[in-house]
Amino acid sequence: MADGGTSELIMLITGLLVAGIVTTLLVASWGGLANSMDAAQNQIEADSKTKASLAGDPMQVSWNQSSCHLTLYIQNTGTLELTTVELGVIINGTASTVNQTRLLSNTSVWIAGEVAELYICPAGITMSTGQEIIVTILVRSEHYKGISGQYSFSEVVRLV
Amino acid sequence: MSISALIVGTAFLGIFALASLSLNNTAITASEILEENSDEPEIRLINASEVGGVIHLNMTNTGDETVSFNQTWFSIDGASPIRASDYHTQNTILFPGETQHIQLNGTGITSPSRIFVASMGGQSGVSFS
Repeated sequence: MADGGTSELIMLITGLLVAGIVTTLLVASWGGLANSMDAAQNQIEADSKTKASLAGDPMQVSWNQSSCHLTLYIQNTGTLELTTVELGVIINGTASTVNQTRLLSNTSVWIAGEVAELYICPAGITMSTGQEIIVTILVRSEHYKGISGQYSFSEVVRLV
Repeated sequence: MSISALIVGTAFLGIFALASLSLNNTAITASEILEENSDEPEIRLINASEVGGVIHLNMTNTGDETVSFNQTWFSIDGASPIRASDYHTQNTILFPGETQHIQLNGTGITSPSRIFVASMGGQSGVSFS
């Protein structure tokens, strides 16, 4: 009887240990899955709240070849604040440098509805007045739930 | 053994509860994203004219969303955009289906040829007559 009791006790302890390990593994794996789902969900949410569009006339975009100066006006059409320091511009497939950014209303933050003036230098590209070019703009939002939203759009503009 | 089964069962129940919460959050996020993507205004400049330095134009909201003049920018002859609410102070909103006559005083622009309007993704342009 004593032997039977001991073996049953060992079986019980072993069972509890196994159950504990299984539970820990299950909870840990779910935790990891939930975290990655949350991160993906936050990224989608941030991206959907990040938007921009051209505010200047696409038919009359100012270009000066000698000073390498293309001027674009971009409106924040999303709901998140955009950053003016992380802007990307691609002109006819070539990455270009944003030399200067200025908010037209002289505010310090690029909130929804505000327009930023971008001075761009598409180095190495020769363009002329009347030419139509494809401009791709990439914008990034300030941090939202620890994640930065991204948005890009392309538009054909005519140089003057 | 039954205690072990109880522990594992409770863990499963907990995971199902967490999964339900996560699914609920995902559904809320999805509806928010849908809402974000459906609010682009549609606007149309009907005509524009300039008399003695004052610009007159008629603009219609052809979409389903209200258009705020605070978020509406006019660009004349490709110049730097000007905010509509800085010049047009009679109203602040252009409602769906509404056409308003807008008068821009003090722009300093004479004999313009074209005006372009942009508002939160909605765009339109017209030549001066």
